Amino acid sequence: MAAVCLASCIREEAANSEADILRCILPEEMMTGIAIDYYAPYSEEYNAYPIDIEVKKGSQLGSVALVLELTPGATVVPESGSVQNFTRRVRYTVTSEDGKWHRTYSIGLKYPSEAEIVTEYGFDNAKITKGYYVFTDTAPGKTEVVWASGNQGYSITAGNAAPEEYPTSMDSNGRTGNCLKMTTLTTGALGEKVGKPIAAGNIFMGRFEVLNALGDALSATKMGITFRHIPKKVTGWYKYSPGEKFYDDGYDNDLVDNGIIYAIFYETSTNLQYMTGHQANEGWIHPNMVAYAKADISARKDWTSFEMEFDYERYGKTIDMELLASGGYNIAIVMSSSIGGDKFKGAPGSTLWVDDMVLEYE
Amino acid sequence: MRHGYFFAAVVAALLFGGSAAQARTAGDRWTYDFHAGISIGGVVPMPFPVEIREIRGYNPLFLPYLEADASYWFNSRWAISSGLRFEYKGMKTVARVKNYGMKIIGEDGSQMSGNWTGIVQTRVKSSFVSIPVVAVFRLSNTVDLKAGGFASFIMEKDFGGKVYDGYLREGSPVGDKIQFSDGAVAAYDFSSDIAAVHYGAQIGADWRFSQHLKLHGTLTWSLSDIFRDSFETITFDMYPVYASVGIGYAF
Repeated sequence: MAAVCLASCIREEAANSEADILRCILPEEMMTGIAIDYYAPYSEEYNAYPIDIEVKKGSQLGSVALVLELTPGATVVPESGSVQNFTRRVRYTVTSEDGKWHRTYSIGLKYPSEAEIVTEYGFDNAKITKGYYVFTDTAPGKTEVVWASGNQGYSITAGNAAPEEYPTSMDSNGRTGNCLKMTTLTTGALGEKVGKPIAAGNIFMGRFEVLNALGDALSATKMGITFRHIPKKVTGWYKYSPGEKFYDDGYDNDLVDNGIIYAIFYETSTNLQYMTGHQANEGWIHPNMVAYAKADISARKDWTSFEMEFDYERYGKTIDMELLASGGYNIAIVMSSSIGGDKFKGAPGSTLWVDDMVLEYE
Repeated sequence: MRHGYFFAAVVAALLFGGSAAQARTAGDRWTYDFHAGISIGGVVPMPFPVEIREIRGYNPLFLPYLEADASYWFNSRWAISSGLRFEYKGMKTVARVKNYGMKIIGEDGSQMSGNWTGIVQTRVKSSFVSIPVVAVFRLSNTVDLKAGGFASFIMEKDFGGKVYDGYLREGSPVGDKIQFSDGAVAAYDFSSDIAAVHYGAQIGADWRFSQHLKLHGTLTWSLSDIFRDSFETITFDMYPVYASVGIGYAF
C-alpha cells in the first residue's frame, strides 16, 4: 500500500542546482592529451576553482575559443566558445539551471614545463592552505615541487583542526631549519565503527584528488611528476618514533610500527598518467613500472641518514631516451609514518620526521 | 531482543490480570480489552519532496504491536477509551535521490554534510510506548468505530542507512564533489535526531466475531515530524503513517 503510494507520489524533477564545468574543449591542434582536473580544490590565490590545461608548446594563446560543457541547463559568462585572451588566466562564472547557485572558475592554459624539477628537498617552506600545511620546494630556474598529502582528504572532515593536528605537518626542530613531520592519528569512535580507525601521515609527489577522497580513496592518490633524467638514488635524514599500541584489526598484538620511504619511476601513457594507491596495493607490479627504490624506517631517536637506490633490474626495462627528454617518464617519492597505513594498520602516535632529502640522477 | 521479553511480560500480565478481572456485570460502565497484531506503513515525507526521484525498493519489516485499553461508556452508543500500546514503526527503502540534504560518515569516520545525488538506502525501526485516546461509537452489536489521537514516547531509536552510486557536494550544490562509485559506500545515522515524543490522529474499527474475540484495525497518522525541530539535514518533514490489524480479546 505504502509502496504504491510512494511510487505514484514522485514529483516532476527540479531544475539542476549544480554549476560545474564538466569538460573544456580546445581546438584539436592545441591539445596534448594530458588529463584535466576539473575538481581541483578552491584556490585562494585565484579566488576561484582553478582549471589548468596543458597545451602544445607554441600554441597561440592570444585568442582562443574555449568550448565548455556544463551541468545540464547551466549557463556561463563569458559564453562558451567566445574568443578570450589566454595569455593570462580567464575567469568564468557558471550559474546553475535553477539560477540559485554559482561557481567561479579560473582557467589557465600553459605550455608543458621544460624546466627541471627541484631535486633538493629541505622541507623548510610550507604554506597553510585551507587549514593545513602544503610543502613546496623551490630553486632558481627550476620547476617547484608541490608535495601532495592525505591532509587534503583529512580536511574534508577535520572540522577546525589546527595545521599541527593534521597527519602531515611542519616541525621547526629540523636537522637544518624546519622539517617534515608525519604522524599516525586515530580517527575517533566513528572511524572505528567503519573499520578505519587510523590515518597515517603521508606525503608524495603528485596530486590528491578530492573527488575520490572518501569513496575510492586509493585512486585519490595520484603519484608522479614529470622527470627528464634517470634517477639513481634518494638520500636524506630521518627520525622515527613508533606509537605504543599497534592497530591490526584490534590492539591485541605485540607488533611494532615502521615507517616507509620509497620512490617509483615509470613510463606514462594516455591510459596511465599517474600511478595510484591501487598499484601500491598490488606491490608495484605494473607494465609501466621502470624502477623502484625503498628505505626501511624503524625507531631512531637521533637524525639518521638513509640512502635508497633505484632498482631497475626488477623490471628489466630499457629507457627510451627520446621519450625521457620529451617528458614521458614520471617520478614519485612517497613517505608514510606507518608502513601499513594504506591498509589502516599502524600505531597511533607513530611519527616520522624527514629532512634534507636529495634526489640524485644521471 | 530486550523488547521481545518486554512484550512477553506484558502479554503474561494482561492474560493473568484479565482472568482475575473477570467479565463485567451488566450495569458496569467500564469495559476492558486487549489486542495484538502487526503494523505496516512507512515514514512518509509530506508533501513528497522533489529530491526523491525514484523508489527502488520497500520492505515493510515485521512490526508487532500490543495494546490494552479501558473504555468508559456514557450510554449504550458512546464511550471514551484509552490505554497503552507498545508498538514498532519502521520500514526499509531504497530510493534514488537528487540534491538530497545528507550528513554522511566518511571513510575515516568523521561526518560531512552536503547535498547527495545517488542511491539512499534507509532503515527505520523504532519502538514506542503510545497512549491512544479515542471516542468509540457503537455502530451495531458487532461493530465499534473509533477516532481520536495518540501520543507516542520513543524507547528505541533507529534511523539510518547508507548511500552509494552517487556523489556528495560538500556544504552546498556547488561545494567540493566527493564521489562514491565502484562499490564505495558511506553510512549515515540520524537515530539521535529522532524526536522523543510524537503525536497524531488515529481511526479504527472493531468487529466482534464471537463473545470475546474481535478483529481490530487502526490507521495511525503522526502529525509531528519524526525528527527533532533542530534537525536540519533532511530539509523536508517526515511523518509515520501506519495501518495495524490485530486480534482482540474483550473481557
